[in-house]
Amino acid sequence: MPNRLQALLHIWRTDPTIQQSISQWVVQPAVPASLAQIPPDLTPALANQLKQRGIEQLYAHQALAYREITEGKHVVISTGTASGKSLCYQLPILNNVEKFPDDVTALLLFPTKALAQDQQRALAQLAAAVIRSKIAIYDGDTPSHQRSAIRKNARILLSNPDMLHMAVLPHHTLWVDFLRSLRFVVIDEIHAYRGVFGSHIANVLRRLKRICAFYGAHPQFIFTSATISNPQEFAGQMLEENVTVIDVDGAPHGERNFIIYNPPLVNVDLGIRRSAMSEGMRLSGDLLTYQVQTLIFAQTRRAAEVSLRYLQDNHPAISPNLYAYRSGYLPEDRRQIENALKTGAARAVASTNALELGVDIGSMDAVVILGYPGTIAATRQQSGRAGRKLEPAVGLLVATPNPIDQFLVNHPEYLLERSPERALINPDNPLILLQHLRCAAFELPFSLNEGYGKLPPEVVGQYLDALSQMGELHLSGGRYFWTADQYPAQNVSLRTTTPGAVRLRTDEDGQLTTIGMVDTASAHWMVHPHAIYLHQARTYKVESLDLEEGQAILKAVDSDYFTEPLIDEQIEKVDLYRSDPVPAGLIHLGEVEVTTRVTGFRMTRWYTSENLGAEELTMPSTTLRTVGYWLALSREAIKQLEEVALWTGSPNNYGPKWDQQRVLARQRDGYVCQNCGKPENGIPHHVHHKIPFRQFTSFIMANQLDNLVTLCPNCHRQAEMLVRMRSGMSGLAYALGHLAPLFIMCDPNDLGAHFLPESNLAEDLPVVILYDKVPAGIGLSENIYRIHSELLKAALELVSDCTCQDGCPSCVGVSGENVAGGKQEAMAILHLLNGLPLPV
Amino acid sequence: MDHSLLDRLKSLGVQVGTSQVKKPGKSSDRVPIDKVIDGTEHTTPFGSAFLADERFPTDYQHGLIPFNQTVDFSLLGEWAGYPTLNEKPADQFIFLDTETTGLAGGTGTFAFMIGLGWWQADGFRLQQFFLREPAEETAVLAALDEVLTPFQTVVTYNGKSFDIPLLNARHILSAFQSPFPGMKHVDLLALSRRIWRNRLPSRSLGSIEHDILAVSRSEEEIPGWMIPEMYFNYLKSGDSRPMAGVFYHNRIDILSLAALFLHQSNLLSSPMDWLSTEGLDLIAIAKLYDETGRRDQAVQLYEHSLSLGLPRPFFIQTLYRYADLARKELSFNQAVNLWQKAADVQELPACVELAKYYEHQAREYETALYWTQKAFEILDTQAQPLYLKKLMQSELQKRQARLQRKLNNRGSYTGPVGPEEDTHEQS
Repeated sequence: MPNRLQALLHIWRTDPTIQQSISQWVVQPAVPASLAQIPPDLTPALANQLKQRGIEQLYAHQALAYREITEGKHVVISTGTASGKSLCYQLPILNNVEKFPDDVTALLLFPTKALAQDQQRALAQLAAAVIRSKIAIYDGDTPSHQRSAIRKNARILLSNPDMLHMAVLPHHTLWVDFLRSLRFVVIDEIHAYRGVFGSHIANVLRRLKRICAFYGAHPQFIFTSATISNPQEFAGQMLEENVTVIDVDGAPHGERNFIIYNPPLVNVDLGIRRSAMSEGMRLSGDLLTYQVQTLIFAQTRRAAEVSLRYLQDNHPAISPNLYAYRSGYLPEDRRQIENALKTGAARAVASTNALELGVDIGSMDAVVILGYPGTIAATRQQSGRAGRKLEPAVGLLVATPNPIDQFLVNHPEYLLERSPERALINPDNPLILLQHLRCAAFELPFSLNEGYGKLPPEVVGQYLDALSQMGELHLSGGRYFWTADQYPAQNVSLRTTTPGAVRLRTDEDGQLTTIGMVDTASAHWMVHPHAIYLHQARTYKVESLDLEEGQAILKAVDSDYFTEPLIDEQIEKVDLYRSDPVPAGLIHLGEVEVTTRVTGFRMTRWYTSENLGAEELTMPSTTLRTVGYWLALSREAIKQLEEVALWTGSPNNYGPKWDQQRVLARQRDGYVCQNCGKPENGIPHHVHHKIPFRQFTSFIMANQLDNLVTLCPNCHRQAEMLVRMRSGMSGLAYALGHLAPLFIMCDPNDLGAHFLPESNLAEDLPVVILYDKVPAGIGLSENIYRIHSELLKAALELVSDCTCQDGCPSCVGVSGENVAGGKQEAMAILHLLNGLPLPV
Repeated sequence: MDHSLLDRLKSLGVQVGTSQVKKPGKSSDRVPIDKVIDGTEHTTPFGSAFLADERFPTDYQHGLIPFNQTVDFSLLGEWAGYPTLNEKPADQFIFLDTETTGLAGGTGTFAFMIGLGWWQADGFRLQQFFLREPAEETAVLAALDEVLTPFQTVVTYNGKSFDIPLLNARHILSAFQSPFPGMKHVDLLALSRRIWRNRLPSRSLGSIEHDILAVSRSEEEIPGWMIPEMYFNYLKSGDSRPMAGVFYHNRIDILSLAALFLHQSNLLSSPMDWLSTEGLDLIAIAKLYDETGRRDQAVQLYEHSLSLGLPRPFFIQTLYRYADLARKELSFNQAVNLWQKAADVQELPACVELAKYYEHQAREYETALYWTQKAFEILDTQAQPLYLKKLMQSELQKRQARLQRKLNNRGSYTGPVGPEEDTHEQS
């Protein structure tokens, strides 16, 4: 296919309709391998296997990893996609197990079941015959009648963290022989374990080390990671020990093209661009036409399904060779799609990040990424899927109007050179810690004065005493015994802080079939009653959602619209941890309570995006206690902004005849709210400017009767909210909320961002708040607090660089009907917050 | 400080019901176990534990079961995987039952009471070890191992999946070697399930003891599901009075276990001797005979149980099973008889079996068509999920079409013909 791909790349390079929109085109020339000798101390069987597979030499990083691991160090291997990371640990492990089959075992943990299956095949091919039968997968799919034989015989066990947490550690006495000999633990793809998931994993490792120590084993840990900026720090945080990093990539690769494509502006003033979806589909269509096998990464499950629909509609002839791939599909369907990719039967697959982690699907010629996938590591890993060893390949990032995408279009160096991303975890989040201390106490009673991970006995003791007060532990003879009729691991989901899952079932002729699962937290907004849910490009309507039963009943429908939930949020301060003055304001860190409710949903027609109205829902609200960072603008700064008429957050001086006009307006409207019809009740209603007062140059024009309307206080507040939403501060909240994930390596959905006009969080000052969407927080807000000035600088660059007139989705958010956008205001605020003079 | 951590956890959404937070009991509420249960301090090299020790006379009778009978363990032994069990006298068996802190399993569950029973020269002996504090576990395990030493076979109820793995785990956690891997183990639950699955609402030891052994427990008895919580409450309050009920529960469990062992052995070795035995029990034992190759005895029991009269579903089930056995033994006539009996009471699968028989064996296509038609009629009257109905209908339609084709090919000739091409059908 390379000729075809090169031909297409040539067309892209010369076709003005495409070439104009290409903001970056980086060609990485082919790189030869950097090689090293095969270690001399391999068992003859292993050396022979390598020879038979045509491996005469190792890549430099593989040889280095072998040496470091053999010396007994904990290592983290952080090299590119498809650089042969697996061999780095396969060699030392197989070598040791083959040399000392009775004394050495290894535990390999993969984030997905599919990865474990790939690795089992790879290890079995490399292993000596006697070892082959002792390499086993132990996961949720392992039939129960095979489990006891695996426990007895396995020397190399492939599993996942969930299984270790749920099935192995709480039953460690069944694994005595395996754990006693445990010498190596491999944690693959650790960059997948960020945030909540990573904080859970770090605790699972604490528990594993604790149980191993009980059996006298002190295993050595080997991590692999995609390229992030801090692999060593991150792995070290995860393990709480020193970890040696190996990040010099010795693997060869063919010529790689990396293109950032920014869809053309269709309205310069409003900053509206053609959609990333339609442009991405056009480019993918080109690739399909040139018969280049293409993998499309979509940001959401829905987008993956929509992509598949577009492709099928436009390429009906090869429709059976086009697939979508995402979580929520049944394992056997996923295996089938993976195989179709490997064999080439799949011409294009539209996937979510489910395929991003090293599932063995071979390498593609082309990867199209529809919108920045949320982290630089993921972008690199997804585009790294393109590129066979010697042939040219293309990775294409189609930018969306999201601020972070547009920021990267102008700052590609973040993607290509220095990644600012620092993966973060917080294993000591009190809720996560408590859950794992329960599990650990269940597994083995804690002694008085026993620590846990790096936590000292005093801190652990407080938790154990709290658990004793809750009746779950009982102190007897200096040890805390588990005294609850519960299996605590069952109530801990590593993926969330809130456990539970909802089965999605369809009802056909009385037969209920489960087509997928969503977690309970997502169920509120994904499968609320009457939501349209997509699955393999088919549309389903949710008939009912039963959160207690954990089940949603879906009906297959031919829907010409999709739904989006409407969400209401309220924020209260609980506790202030600290605050510091910054230019033009104060930043705060503290605990807040956020109350959220899905109040309804909006229906939008496919393709035309026509608004089909909204429906209300009665859903239970959920409350979140978490950590937030909030930025309050000082009164001085507000004054400064008001002086240049760039502040719209405070009451206006409405001029000399205002009182008179107000009476006239109320009289005209019969003293009745013109929105809800409520009459006055002793207290005069408010009078509202339809076109905001500040947009007029004269009092007289602004206060004309036909620009005034009588509203009750409640309706008035709602009307004013619309105006405030467009203010500079709300634009700032929009920009910060979208940009922060670039620095703290989290999903944008892990973070809430709001503008609160007169907030009790900071003495009624206007506030922008960002908070962790995880109970008790996972460290995101703390980090934003720490990088405040860096973030504010990037935000100013983002807004300054944007070509739009007065706010657009790419900088401070769209401006609404009849209301000016807040771009000028936001720019002014950002100047002050960066300690700069106001722009003239 | 503790207090504030608890409050903080509460504010973060941790469920801490106020009723759950228990204050340690006042000293006046503390009642030690030796004031409640007649027992002694049992000393081991690993500390001491509380032991209640009891003897029952040789002529003791538990419910309907006298303890001083000689029984034949051979079939029970074979069922449990020990064909030579019968060579052992009854006093080689030790009965074991534990009371634990939960049913979830895993290393966080421990046995706070271990009950043991065995026959000795002067009658039945029953010992119960109790953990006054969880820390006494090592002592109790050491005592257990000592008691077990002379025995070769342990008998439990559900011990295969519960008591024994749990005790193995407890040994590992105390760095002891477990005695159980070196012992034979007979678990009576599996056999109870086989025999009484259809007749009794539950196969729990309590329910079998009541319905089969005619044992009734006194009001001291407490239900098993309450036991973990009662022990936790005892640990918190120090008041051991409610533990009396747990001792009683465990004691009866051990006695019933021994009685059930005698009864099941008898039932298997000579089921017909038990005049009170129900037809349902007999068909279960018949099936067991059938599976262990005792086909003549199985046929005899099937016949006998059908003659006793059975509730409809089991009558039908027995007809099918018996027919299956008959067909395997190649006496198709007997099988056809049995299927017809089932078809007489509107049994759809029987009609299908008959249609198959007349199509492939007898090759009487018209009769086969008759039974297919009858199957259609029954299907119409049945309440079933639509998709199953559709599936069944399409299968019957295929059969009908094929039979019609065969009839047409054959013309008016209705006698036997040579081998057919379509014998690939799965029965």
